[in-house]
Amino acid sequence: MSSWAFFWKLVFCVSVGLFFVVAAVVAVRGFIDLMQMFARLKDMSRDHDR
Amino acid sequence: MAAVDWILISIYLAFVLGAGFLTRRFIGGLADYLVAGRQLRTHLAVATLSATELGLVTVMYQAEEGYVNGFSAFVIGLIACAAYFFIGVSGFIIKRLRQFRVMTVPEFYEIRYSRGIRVIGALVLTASGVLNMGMFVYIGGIFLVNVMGINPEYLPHTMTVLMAVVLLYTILGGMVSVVLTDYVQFVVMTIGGGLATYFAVRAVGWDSIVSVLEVQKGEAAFNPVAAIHPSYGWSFIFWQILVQLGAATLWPPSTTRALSTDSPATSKKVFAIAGLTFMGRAVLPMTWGIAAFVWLTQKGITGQLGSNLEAMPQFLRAVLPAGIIGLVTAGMLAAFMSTHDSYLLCWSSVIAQDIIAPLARRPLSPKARIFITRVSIVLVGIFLVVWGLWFKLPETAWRYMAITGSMYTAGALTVIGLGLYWKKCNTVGAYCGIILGAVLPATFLVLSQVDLPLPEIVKAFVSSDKLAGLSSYIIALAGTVFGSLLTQKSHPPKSVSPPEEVQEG
Repeated sequence: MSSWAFFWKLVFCVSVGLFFVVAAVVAVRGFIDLMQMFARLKDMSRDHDR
Repeated sequence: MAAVDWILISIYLAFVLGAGFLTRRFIGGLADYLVAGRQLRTHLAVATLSATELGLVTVMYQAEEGYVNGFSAFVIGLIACAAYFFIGVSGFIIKRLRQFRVMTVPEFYEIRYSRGIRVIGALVLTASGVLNMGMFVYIGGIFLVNVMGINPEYLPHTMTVLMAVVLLYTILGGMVSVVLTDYVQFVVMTIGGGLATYFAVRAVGWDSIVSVLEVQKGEAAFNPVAAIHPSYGWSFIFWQILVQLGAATLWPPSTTRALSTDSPATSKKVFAIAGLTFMGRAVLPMTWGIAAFVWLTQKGITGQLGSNLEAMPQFLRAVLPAGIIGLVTAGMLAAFMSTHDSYLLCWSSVIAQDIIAPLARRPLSPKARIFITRVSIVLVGIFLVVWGLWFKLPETAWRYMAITGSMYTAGALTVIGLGLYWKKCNTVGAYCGIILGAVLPATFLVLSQVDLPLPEIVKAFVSSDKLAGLSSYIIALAGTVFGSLLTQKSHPPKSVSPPEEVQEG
């Protein structure tokens, strides 16, 4: 059982690490994407109005 | 809860409702409402996909799996991670589906097979999706009641208020408000999740977790394929691989993200990156559930719980400091809403686009389709509150999710997978696959509530969710292959190829 316990501890550490590293990158770059999406949608809705 | 906790929660709720109102002006047409004008780029799409798939319900059922099965539950996260990463690298199904430029999964059924397949496929999908979502409000209510210390008598009221807030802003803003709130939820949830994990593990200590699990649950808490595992084992593992592959590629709330991206290449990237977070998405809440089990065992109060689902929120309420509990609850509320808005929009758009529109005598205008989608959102919302209060969960919440999801994914994985990659797949095969895939999971659900006079051998088979779930994929595959091969002459298969991609933006 101790080898299983070590394995799951490793899984826990790797998955938590990966989760937060990827989340930090996605949060920063996702914010830039979000602003650009709104800018494009704004242009599109202005074209609709015309 | 302290005043600071209530303030954090109130600020969040005000923001969400404001987002619904503000994003209304960006809704120019149906594509804006349903797939955000296909404007999602990689990182925003990852945030919204992760947020949708990391709902409060996800957190609750993952925590319950950890509470019941210990570290063995982590295997579900490993399978999910591998499934998403495989799809992201290979583009399996999602790349080709995106090339067809469809807005909903059943649209592909009509392009590849027939209008009849689109309607029957959409009916099975809606039944499976709405049933799958059926316990969401109930589970969300259980979390809030336990974490905020509300009297359990007010569970129905809590559920109704939660549903009303979600309905309001989903109806108003469509996919654009969904994307915005998903992004905010992704950030709040990540911070709240990190803090909750730190305090949960600190409260009991990693070494105590291991030793208590060893004493209380034995090998089953560590080895998911132990010779006599009370709830997992190889049949469960194989079933989960199929469930995760089907859910990742064809579960519409996920697939909509792939269909909303600005190109098929982005769809692939989104799944590969999101896959990396999916292990954490399972492992974090499962760890809270495991820590809750250890903490309750040490206190000697495991027997006082109404259900296993109550363990994690009660534990968090006891161990999280003031301020953090408000942040985590706001994060959970955010998680609850971002999953609900996506799912509500998704199932309602399937009802409007794939059931009502194909059956209507005259073509429906985009305005009429948006109106039908909004009415469907309200009707599905009402159903969720009623079903959540009436239905009794058969085993753990995750097993309910997996079996209701299998009703649709068993048939869809076969019919869409073979439709994309096997030229001989025809309409008869598609009917067989969709219908046969839904039969066993549906029978299991009925039997879990009502005792039907069936032979014992049949009962033993369909009363096991593992067997019913795994078999549904096998008979759906057999039905599609044999149905197609036996009727090649009477129903020659359609040959279709995706339209050429035009880069937008």
